[in-house]
Amino acid sequence: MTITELETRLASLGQALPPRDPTFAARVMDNLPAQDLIRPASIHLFIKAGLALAASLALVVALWSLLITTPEPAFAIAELPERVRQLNTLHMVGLRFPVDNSPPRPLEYFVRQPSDFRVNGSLGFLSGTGNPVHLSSVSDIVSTADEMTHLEHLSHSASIRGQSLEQAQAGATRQLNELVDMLFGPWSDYHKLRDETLGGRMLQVYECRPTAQTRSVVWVSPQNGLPVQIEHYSTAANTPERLEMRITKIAINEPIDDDVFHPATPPGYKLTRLPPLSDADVYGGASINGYQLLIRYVARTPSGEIVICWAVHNRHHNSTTQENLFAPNGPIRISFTSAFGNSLQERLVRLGTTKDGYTWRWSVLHQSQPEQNATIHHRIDLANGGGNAYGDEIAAKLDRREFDLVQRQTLPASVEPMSVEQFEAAAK
Amino acid sequence: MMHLSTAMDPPPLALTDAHLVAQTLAGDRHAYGQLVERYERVVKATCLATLRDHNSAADAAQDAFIAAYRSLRSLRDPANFAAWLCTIARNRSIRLTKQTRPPAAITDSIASRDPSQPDEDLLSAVAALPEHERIVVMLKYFDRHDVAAIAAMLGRPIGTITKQLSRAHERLRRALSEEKQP
Repeated sequence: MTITELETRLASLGQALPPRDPTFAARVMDNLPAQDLIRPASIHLFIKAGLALAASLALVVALWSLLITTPEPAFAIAELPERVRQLNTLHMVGLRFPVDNSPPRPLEYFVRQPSDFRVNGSLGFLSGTGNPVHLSSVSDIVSTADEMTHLEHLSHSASIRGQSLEQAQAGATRQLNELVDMLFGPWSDYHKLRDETLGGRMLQVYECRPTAQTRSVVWVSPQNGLPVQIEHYSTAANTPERLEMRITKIAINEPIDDDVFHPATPPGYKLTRLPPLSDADVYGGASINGYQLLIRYVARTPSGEIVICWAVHNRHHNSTTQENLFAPNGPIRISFTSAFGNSLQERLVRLGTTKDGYTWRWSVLHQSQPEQNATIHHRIDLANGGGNAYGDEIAAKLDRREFDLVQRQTLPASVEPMSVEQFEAAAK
Repeated sequence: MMHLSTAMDPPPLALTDAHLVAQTLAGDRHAYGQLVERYERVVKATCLATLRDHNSAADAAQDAFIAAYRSLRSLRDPANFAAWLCTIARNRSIRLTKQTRPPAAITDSIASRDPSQPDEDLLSAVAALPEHERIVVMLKYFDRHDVAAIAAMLGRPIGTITKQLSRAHERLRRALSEEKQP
């Protein structure tokens, strides 16, 4: 089909659609809510006056700091992860250093709020044994408001699947949260190492320990408190610490071209179109002898509790029915532990079967001694001693929108989603 | 400071979406009326692609405009209004489809296409375009705006619109040729 033929067909389609309805806009306007979207003018004036006062005070304090006192950072370093989470756009470029000392591999990461992200390269986490993840694939994952594209460069394959705007927004938030937790940790302590000039800019260098096995060194701009360069180190069992990742470009709140989120499938790639993301899709989990632990959601609440939505799929009966699985004489034992090996106690809050037949458990995994770590290990043991399987998940910061969405997807339609506060209270 | 306009700047033909959104948020309901008029056919076409019924599409479109108005404050990037609105429209249409019977075909096949009826395959292919390309195609062919006017509305350079349009052409040609294959 030539461009001209296509344009003719498009023009015909335009003509075949109903013409503009002169009453349509009026009907919409008549049905708009009565209240205006703006804040009252008095509040506007109050805010403006407050902002002006705050700006004046900030200027005076800044001048005072420069003239009278020793220069101190104008930001709280402990809030660095939070500042990164609030960004509108983030573009990071860096290198990942494989554990086998093969040449470093490029990685590139984009986030554009509220719904777009792209991860090009590999961002692996430490495995449950503490050994670094080996790079076995080079993926390019692009998620936009309506679809997720996955290009796999080693196998020359690609897949595209539809998703709802809610799923896309939740996915983008989760990606950003996981990245922030991986780089900075959820409860990291920062220690200033030194001041250093990098690319002609004087920067402050801090160190933090996101998990027991990882350490990040962050070059921070004293002007805005945002990272300029990051090095991420990891320690595997009985081996010296090694540089795992170096991020050398961090562009913040700069426009990202639309092309970034609409990559063309390279010639020769096998393209598969997958059905839209199902509500029953899960993040993964350990699997043994026909039993698979499905983890639909795991997150960390503002007060530090771990919320998890999970199920066990029994392949022998193709069901996620809970009966017998947790009985003393049941076929399997399931346990959750922290990255330090401390046991996490499950407190079941809600249990429901959805119309697709999945029975999901919504629980809090209570830590008897709070730890500064977000990695959750899970393990299935066959009761007859025939073996075990385990995996891990990062409990990223809870996003209320996603928390609400996943509850609606995993509980019967008649059950109202709980707020985080209600959920925590019910678990006590 | 003097502003030097370049040949690639959008011409000042219309207020941009971002402008109209800002005015709406400042309390000017008339500005929102302009957005409704601007995107009426685009949103209806978006709904029609899913619902396959003109009356349902008109109802869903009205619903989408009202829902967008209610949530307008949550729109982070006002320049992205059109894509955001269409996503709302599409999601509402999908939800409606699930609540009612499966969508019926508007036409039987390409071969037996009635010229007065919408070309269902093409409409579906347009609906499957990435959001920014979809808006540009709909504004150009359904509302007959030229590229300069679209650039002015969306607040983007003409070059970007042209690029999105040619990319959309390529995608549509590919999608339609794939469908023709047995």
